[in-house]
Amino acid sequence: MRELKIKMAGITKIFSTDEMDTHALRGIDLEIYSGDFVSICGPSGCGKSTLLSILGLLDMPSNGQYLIEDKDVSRLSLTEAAEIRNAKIGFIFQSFNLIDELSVFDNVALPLRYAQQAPKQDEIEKRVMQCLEKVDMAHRAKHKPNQLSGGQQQRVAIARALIANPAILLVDEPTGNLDSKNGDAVMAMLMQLNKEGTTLCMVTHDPRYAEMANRKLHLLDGQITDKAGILAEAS
Amino acid sequence: MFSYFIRTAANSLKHVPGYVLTIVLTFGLTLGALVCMFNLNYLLLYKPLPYPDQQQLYVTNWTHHDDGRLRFNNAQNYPGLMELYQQTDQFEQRAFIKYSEAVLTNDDAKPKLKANFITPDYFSMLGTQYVLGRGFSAEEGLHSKVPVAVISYQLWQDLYKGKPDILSEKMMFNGTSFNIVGVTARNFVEPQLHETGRNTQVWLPWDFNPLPPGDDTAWGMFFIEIYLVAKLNEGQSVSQTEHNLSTLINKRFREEVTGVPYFDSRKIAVSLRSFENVIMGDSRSRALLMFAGVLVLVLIAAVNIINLILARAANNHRKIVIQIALGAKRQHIFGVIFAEILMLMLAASTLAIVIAHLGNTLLISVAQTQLPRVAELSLNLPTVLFSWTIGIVLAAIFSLITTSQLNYRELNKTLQASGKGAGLQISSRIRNLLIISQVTLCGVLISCNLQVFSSAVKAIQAPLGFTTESKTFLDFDLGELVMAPAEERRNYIEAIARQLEQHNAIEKVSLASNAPMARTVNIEWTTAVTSELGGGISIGPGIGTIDENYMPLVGLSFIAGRNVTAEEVTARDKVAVINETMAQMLSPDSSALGKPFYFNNQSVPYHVVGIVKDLTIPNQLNMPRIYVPMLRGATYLVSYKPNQQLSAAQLNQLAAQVSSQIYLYDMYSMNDVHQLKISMDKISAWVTAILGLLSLFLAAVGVYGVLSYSMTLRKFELGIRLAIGATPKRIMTLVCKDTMVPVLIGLTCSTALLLALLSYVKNKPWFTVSVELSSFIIPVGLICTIAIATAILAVWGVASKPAIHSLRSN
Ligand SMILES: Nc1ncnc2c1ncn2[C@@H]1O[C@H](COP(=O)(O)OP(=O)(O)OP(=O)(O)O)[C@@H](O)[C@H]1O
Ligand SMILES: [Mg+2]
Repeated sequence: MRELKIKMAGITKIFSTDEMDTHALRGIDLEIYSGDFVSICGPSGCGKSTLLSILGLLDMPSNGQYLIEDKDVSRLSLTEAAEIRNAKIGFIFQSFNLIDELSVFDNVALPLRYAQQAPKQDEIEKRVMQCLEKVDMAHRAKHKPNQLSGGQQQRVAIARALIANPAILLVDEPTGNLDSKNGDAVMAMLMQLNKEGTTLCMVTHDPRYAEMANRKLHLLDGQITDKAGILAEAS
Repeated sequence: MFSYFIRTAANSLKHVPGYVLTIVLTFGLTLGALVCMFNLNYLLLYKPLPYPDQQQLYVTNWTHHDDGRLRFNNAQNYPGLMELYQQTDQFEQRAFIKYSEAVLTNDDAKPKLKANFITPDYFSMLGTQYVLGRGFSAEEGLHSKVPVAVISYQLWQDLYKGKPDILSEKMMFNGTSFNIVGVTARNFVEPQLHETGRNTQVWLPWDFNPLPPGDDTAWGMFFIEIYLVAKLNEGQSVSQTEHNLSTLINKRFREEVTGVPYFDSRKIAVSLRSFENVIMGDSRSRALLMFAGVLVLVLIAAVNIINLILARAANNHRKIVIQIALGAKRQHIFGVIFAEILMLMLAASTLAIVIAHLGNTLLISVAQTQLPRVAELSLNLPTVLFSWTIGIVLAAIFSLITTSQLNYRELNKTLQASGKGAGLQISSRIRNLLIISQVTLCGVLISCNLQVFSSAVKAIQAPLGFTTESKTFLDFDLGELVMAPAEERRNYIEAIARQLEQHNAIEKVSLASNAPMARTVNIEWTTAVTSELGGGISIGPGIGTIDENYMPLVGLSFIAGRNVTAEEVTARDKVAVINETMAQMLSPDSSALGKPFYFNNQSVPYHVVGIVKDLTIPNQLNMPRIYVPMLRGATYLVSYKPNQQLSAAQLNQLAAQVSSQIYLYDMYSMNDVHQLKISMDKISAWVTAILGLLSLFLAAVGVYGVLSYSMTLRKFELGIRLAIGATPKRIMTLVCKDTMVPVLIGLTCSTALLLALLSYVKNKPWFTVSVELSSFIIPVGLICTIAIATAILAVWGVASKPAIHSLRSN
């Protein structure tokens, strides 16, 4: 029996500005099991990034219930959210998001340093090098991000996302800033990780890549449209 | 071309009123203070005194040495000055001045006026102009005994309400009626040779200087309020003249004081001090110091402004890039930036001139007794030029710094990237440099200010050894009664005392020659005493004659022995109470109680019957004092009952009941004298407190400006850190740590600067401030606290919101 990693029920998100309220999410119900590769697609502005940021505890839902590994995370303080992000969630963004001043090694090591019980230095070294080897970037550990190509930077970002053994890897347009060759390579790498057991949830515009997922969600105007299909697969 | 730049700049500044206002106000205010200090320093350092051939004007000054040891400075005698006055071949012109006071008895209010006794050359030497009448003529000179008076413009306005027929008025002083013959011009500036801020109200001929008989021929009595001022012949050697005059005075002095053992080893050096030196005193270094303090403040403000200007350039980056794409050259870009900054700086400079003008007005109204020549302050061309030059030079520097941040190759790249990627960023090196310089300047300024502040506060709070509360010194003039026989005079003096005692506002009365604290720096009067007849230890103590009520009234406590008794006062017994310092000098090894001491020219000694504690007068060394029992004149120390006080008119009424001849000559409360003595310390305390707080405030605003700009640049990076699990606390710690690096470097720089400064001034004679460790530590604590507080404030926008806020805006 596959483990239930994530469960969302009736999640909504409303952005209130002076002029108007934007209902970015209108009642999302979603379950993700360990080993899933979920892709989310839909037209621009339908709420994909918003959903991903709530999944990743970067933002709080306006309403609804959200559980990660059975722990209710719908209402958390900023500090609690940070701790759970650190322990359970890995992020890969469209624009690589490496910190320019830090070397590749230090970028990858950062989540471990932020952990509540940070491992010892030699343990950190071992794990960082392991992860860098996984994405084939070990030989560039001492470089700064701006000395790497876009595809290489994204691979470093993947290594960083993996380092803390997260419960789920959240990926937003991982190939958006890459040419097709590099994009394919990154996707291949993600597929490989999924095969090895990593749970993935990915937002993408590219239908080719969306097809690679074992579960495809369509988002329209803040709602999941083909709910039935998901429920069918889940059971 | 330039007008195009100006128009463009004016246009774009219209859209950022907040930016314009911040810069113009911050800089206008601080620069205003600097311009004001420049104006003051220009006056004190460069502007010649307003007298014809002012560099040829000198004041004589006698320095007294015994066996080569300095006794005192600046005290001269009448016969000696008269000798000098006769040396017409040494001077082109010369005049006597005695700074004095006189009661105008033909006025109902009997006001006491600042009166100077002079000889006619005084006015011509100074090139004096008159609104009415004239100065003294040669016929009204020495020994002519013509009773004429010249009054000041201010007195004419204040006392005579500017009445046009003032020249027909008479003034009555000391029983003589003087014809007013002139009123000095409104802009006449008298040389304040005796006391800064003392404005003479009436000038009278030297012949009418009221002196106790014999004083004018006594070679052994020295006075500090009499001067000979002289105009040297052009090209005449000062040192040669000094030598001639010294030789003359020493020769005459020797002839006159032979047989007085006290003067056996006395040498008198006559020196000529230029008007400039005497009038300025040490005010120049004080004015320069204030200039330096404000300069640092302006530098702090300048660093703030660089930061604002750079942040604005960063915001305008795309506009600049497009201009370059359209073919703008380096000098065009510089032109636009320079035009904009120049407009701001010129506006600030102009505001600064207005502020400086207000500052002048303030100085004129509050600092006349603290600084010389302040009344002459006015805005002048050099000051206005100074302000604008600073504005233009800084505009050029700021523009260069800004354009140096534009990397032209990167600019093209930015354009090719069609707007993607980061805009111009102020490099982190520049940002750190800004913080380092803010902290360095602020640290130095606060430390120095704190140093002066704490020593000023100490002087203000220093205990005096007696309570000044409700104690007042009264001096009555007996008029014609001075001539009465001693016994009769004594009766009048005691009758006044009884009148005072019986008044129900008064608690206690003592007949005493001096107040415990005199208004002048030099206390009361002094003469030499010796521990043995004609030899032994020689001491120059302050002397007061007292009655039995004096010690209890002042509240001086006895260390040993007893007070004088009423009988001793009546009998003028040769006993004395002395203070601790005197006791220590008279008898260093054993108790001075019972020891004798001899007055000059007296063979019967006084014996010490009591020793009292020292009084501590602010900013004055403890000096030896002798109190002897004796009634001398109509001077009284009274203590009022709580919340009671008598006016001059009430006191005159009391005196009139004794005799119509008697009137109040002088009155001052110990509280007022105390306030007067610490007035400079109070001003220092205020100025340093304001300067310190201002610099702290400006530095805080500046550091916050840099940090909040850093936060805009770092927002995304911090967002990533949050996304991968950094807690808000960690983010704050990170930013605080990053901020503390330049702050600590700045503090190290400021400490190094301060130590260098200290080692430079340590051995300078004018450096009298006692250095305290706390003045180093407190600024460090303050600046660190403020840096951390501003860092937290700056990072709050990032750390207090969900991570998505920081990630999204990029
Ligand atoms: N901070 C915000 N304030 C107000 N409205 C917002 C905010 N963030 C997102 N929205 C709105 O919420 C809706 C969903 O935005 P979201 O970024 O999730 O779309 P998306 O599906 O990721 O689009 P794209 O494919 O273009 O990235 C949009 O209508 C957007 O305008
Ligand atoms: Mg999106």
